[in-house]
Amino acid sequence: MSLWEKNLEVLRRVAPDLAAALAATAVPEDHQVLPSRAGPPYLQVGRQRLTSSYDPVKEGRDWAESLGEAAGPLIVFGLGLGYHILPLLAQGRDVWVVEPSAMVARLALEHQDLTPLLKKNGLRLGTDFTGLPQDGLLVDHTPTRRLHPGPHRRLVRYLAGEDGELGPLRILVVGPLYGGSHPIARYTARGFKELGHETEFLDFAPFFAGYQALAQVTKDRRAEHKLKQELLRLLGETIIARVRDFKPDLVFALAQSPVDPPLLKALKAEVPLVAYWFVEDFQVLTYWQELAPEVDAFFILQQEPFFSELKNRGVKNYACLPLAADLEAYHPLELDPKEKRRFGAALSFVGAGYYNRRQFFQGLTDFDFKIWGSEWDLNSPLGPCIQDRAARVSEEDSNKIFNATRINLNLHSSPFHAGINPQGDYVNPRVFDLAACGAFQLVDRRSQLPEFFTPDKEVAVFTSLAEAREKISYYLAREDERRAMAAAARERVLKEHTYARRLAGALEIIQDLHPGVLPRRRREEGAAPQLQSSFPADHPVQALLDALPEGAPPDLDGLVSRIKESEEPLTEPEAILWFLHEFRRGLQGRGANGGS
Amino acid sequence: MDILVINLMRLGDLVQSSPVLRGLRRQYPEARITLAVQDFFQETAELLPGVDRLLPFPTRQLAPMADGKSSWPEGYRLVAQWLASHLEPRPDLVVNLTPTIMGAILSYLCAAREVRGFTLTGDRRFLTRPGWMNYLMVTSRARLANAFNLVDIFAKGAGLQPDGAGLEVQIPADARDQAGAFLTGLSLAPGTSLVGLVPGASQPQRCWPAENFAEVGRKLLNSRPCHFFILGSRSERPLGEKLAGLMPPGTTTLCAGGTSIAGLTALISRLGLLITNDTGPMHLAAAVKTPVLAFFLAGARVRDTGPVGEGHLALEPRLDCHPCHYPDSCSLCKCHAAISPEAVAAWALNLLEKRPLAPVADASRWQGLQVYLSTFDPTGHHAHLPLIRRPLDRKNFWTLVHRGAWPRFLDGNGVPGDSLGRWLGQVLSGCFLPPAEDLGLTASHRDLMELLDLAAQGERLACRLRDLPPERHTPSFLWQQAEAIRGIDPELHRLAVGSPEIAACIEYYFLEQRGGVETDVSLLARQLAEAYRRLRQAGKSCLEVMGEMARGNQDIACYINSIPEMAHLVQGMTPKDDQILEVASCK
Repeated sequence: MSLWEKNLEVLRRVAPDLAAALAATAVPEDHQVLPSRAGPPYLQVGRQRLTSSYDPVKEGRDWAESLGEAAGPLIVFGLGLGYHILPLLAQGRDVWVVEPSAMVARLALEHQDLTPLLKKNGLRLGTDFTGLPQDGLLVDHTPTRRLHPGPHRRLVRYLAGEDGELGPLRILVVGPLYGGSHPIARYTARGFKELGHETEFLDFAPFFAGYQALAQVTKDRRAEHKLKQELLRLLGETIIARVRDFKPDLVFALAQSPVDPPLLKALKAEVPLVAYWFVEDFQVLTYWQELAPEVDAFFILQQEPFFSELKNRGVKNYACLPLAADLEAYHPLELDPKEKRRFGAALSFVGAGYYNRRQFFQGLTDFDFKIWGSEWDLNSPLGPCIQDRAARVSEEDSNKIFNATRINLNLHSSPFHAGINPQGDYVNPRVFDLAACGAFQLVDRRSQLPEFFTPDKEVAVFTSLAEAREKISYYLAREDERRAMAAAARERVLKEHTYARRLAGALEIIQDLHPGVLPRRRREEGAAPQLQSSFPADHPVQALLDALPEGAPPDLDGLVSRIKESEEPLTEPEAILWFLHEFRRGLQGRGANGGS
Repeated sequence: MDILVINLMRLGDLVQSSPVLRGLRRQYPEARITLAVQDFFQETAELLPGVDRLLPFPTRQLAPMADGKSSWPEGYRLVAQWLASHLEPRPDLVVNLTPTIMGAILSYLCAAREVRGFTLTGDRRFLTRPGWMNYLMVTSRARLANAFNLVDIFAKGAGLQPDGAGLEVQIPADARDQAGAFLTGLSLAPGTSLVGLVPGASQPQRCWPAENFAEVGRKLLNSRPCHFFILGSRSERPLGEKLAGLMPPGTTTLCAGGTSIAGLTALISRLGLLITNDTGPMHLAAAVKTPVLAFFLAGARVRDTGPVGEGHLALEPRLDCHPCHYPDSCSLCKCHAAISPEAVAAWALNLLEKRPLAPVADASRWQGLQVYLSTFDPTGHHAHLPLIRRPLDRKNFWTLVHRGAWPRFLDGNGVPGDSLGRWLGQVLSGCFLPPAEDLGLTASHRDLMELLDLAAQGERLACRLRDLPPERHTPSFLWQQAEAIRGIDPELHRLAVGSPEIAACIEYYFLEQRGGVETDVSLLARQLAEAYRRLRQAGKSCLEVMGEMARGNQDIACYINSIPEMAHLVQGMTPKDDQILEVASCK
């Protein structure tokens, strides 16, 4: 039994989730385990050595000795390859380890016997600090701290008893006029709201018709381009106007939203932080080059070599933020027989007719195969499979198709490949949407996929047409397996891949990049109880608060809008509230002179 | 008797309400008069005579509380406490001059026996009373028709008659002494004219350029020895510094932001002239009888808020876009260029040298500009009369018609040939040349007749409903009647849009109708009949005054007679009596 298997066996018993996560972790190429001068292996991540390349065993021993023999639990930030942990375990010390990187943790478990640590459930991954002893002494593995300053700060805050959570922020989510990032912008706004942040979605979709109409205005392509740029510039102005009104702590713009470098500069002068989520393939669309340097946080879907490209351009404030699932849009659904007939099939695909899909799907037409979505050529061998004459599919219908289909095919788009992109890295939104529906999916292998779902346990994976055909036949015949995998994928989504969870991560990254910039407001323990406690029990305002209908905001706006509508004689407390509301409106420069 | 006057507005508005305080004191000599103001303007309010008790509203303290999402309960307590400590016992009469919802709610909270001005009722309706306060509301919608200065509308809205004594403030002795010492300290040569310059205003669009002010200064210096005092608020100091930098060295003293309100008033009272945009200091100058030369740019209009008193000059651009269509955002500011420094210097010299001012006919010299001289009419109402005679145009003619018609309608004053009628006749002939364009008489006569017809029709329907026994209030009958009455309002709207000259009368009718919550059919019908009757009265007053002015003025009569199809108007201007009587017979 290898060290890895031995460690994993213990971990599976003590912390099965952690074991599963580490088992699913792929170690990227920049994590190198190399022989040291003295012999035992040392670890290098990128250019950072996590252990001595000369004699890592001695280094670990010296470090452990330098801690002395102080009693009480020790919390070590950084596992490295475990050399500094082993002497402590040997001394029988009460040791806890927080390792921010799953990749490093996996390598440590592959190279050291850490069972004494694992048996007592003493390993924590990422920013999961649950169960760490509050009286523990924090000691740092310096190279790890250097590599992960953000998680280190969070651990320090956690141990100091400070609430690690941000208070309610004001966040303005800016979306595009159209396209694939539009729903992501909506989900993003919903995710921030779910986290309890006051969020507004600046939706430019209503302007799309006007944007399209400009194409009809002139046959001169340059003139059309100029007009469209002017419209986008105007829309950019509306962002500034909204920002001045809403006064957000953070502007979170999605790919394709109408922002350009001058506007981002102007925004940065108005808002504490501006973030951008580039949910595109950086090699296909290159406008990131001019936007990335202008924002405070640039989120991307890909990792290397995108990271290096950004670094080469002097961009430091970037981070990988994968997509996620919106459970309001995608969820399990009971369909009636008519809907099942309309939307169901043995095999379905929902998406646009990219070149690689047009090619690949020709090899699947002998199955009961339905292709939904736009940009498909009806006069092609795929014609009989194409549904609704290649009309766009609504979110609602997508949800129904996913739920009604036995095998949902997911092939990542590529304008360059004939079928599967062998270098494909990031995963598309459909991976998460399908999993959120509790729908079975067969997806082409992507290098990042194992970070999110366990291949062939939660989602079925193919790397060639032959494998795809084979698995389609296999799973069509095994409904129970399909159901079990789909359920497992949905479980994983609920636990790890919701937008709320993803965006909580984004905010943590932003805090790490810009410590102290986001305000730490105290979260209100529910506005209504707080308000009620600010007036005596028998105060007339209490009755007004009690009378607020469900869903009405328990604040001055909510109270006064009800006061204005009431048909009862106006009471003095009501009039005072109304007065106060008008006074506030006057302060905000609106309607102070609204006569009648 | 306890009287509370609520004025939660700014410096200029406070000074403009001084005649209200004087009028109340005259009408109720024994009363205790309290003036509620925002604490920001307490210093200004302290200058107003006739106040027994000044009640500053704690705006400064309330602002941070009201603005906060969770701190407003504190704000609630502050307001409740302020009301309890200062408004008990409840006043007998509240005069609310603040035309905002906030002012209306405060007047409601006072729970006084009588409220004049803009207020709120227990059934959550906003209303204005007496009629002149409704008129104030109307002027914001049909602004071009307004013929009365805000000062007079305040007084009439407070149920008082203007006394023709203008604005007033009292300068504390120490401020007066300090101003004297300050001026002495400057050691100016005897005979030097002291001229105040106010380059700032509430909006940049209302600011005549500092370069122009400087040019005026230089031109005045070419004519006579002058010393200039640059005045304004603390935030206007940079603008003042800019102006000072443009003036010849040693000719200016920069006071902007450096004086108290009392000190500013005392200084203004010592000036020979104040050249200013439409600002609070302009009203202070008018109140201390310092001659004013003021510019009314962008959204500012001389007839609404011009300096009150005898002998002030107000300059207004003659542009189709004035008063501004986009008062808060215009970037063209053509009005700034329409008033030239040469013209301003020439008129300023007239004031400084106390030359008699009478209408002049050399319109070509003053292209793009109208100059108004402030005065009072024989009924004590303020007026701004054009000094540059030009052919009477439709706009001016109708402003004068309204000047005669509204007091007749709302006060029951004015009969043909009385002092006001004579004065209007003199203004027509003395300040204007004979008309050279259509005064809109034919169209307006037709529209007014239609207005009378519609109002009579509405009144007839409402009366029929009112007099119907309740047992005949069947749903189908009521529905028919309601439909018939409902048909009248769109017609009135159409008339208002098509005929700006009579739009104010119709707006007034709609304002009186607003927010009715009465559900009893007879009562509702009674109110409606009364509203239609008043609309008819308003229209009739307009028609009468229009006819009187047309008949009484030779130039207009000649003009009308020269156009054959209009000749009949001179005779047929007044509605036939039977037309009125037919409806008046209604109970």
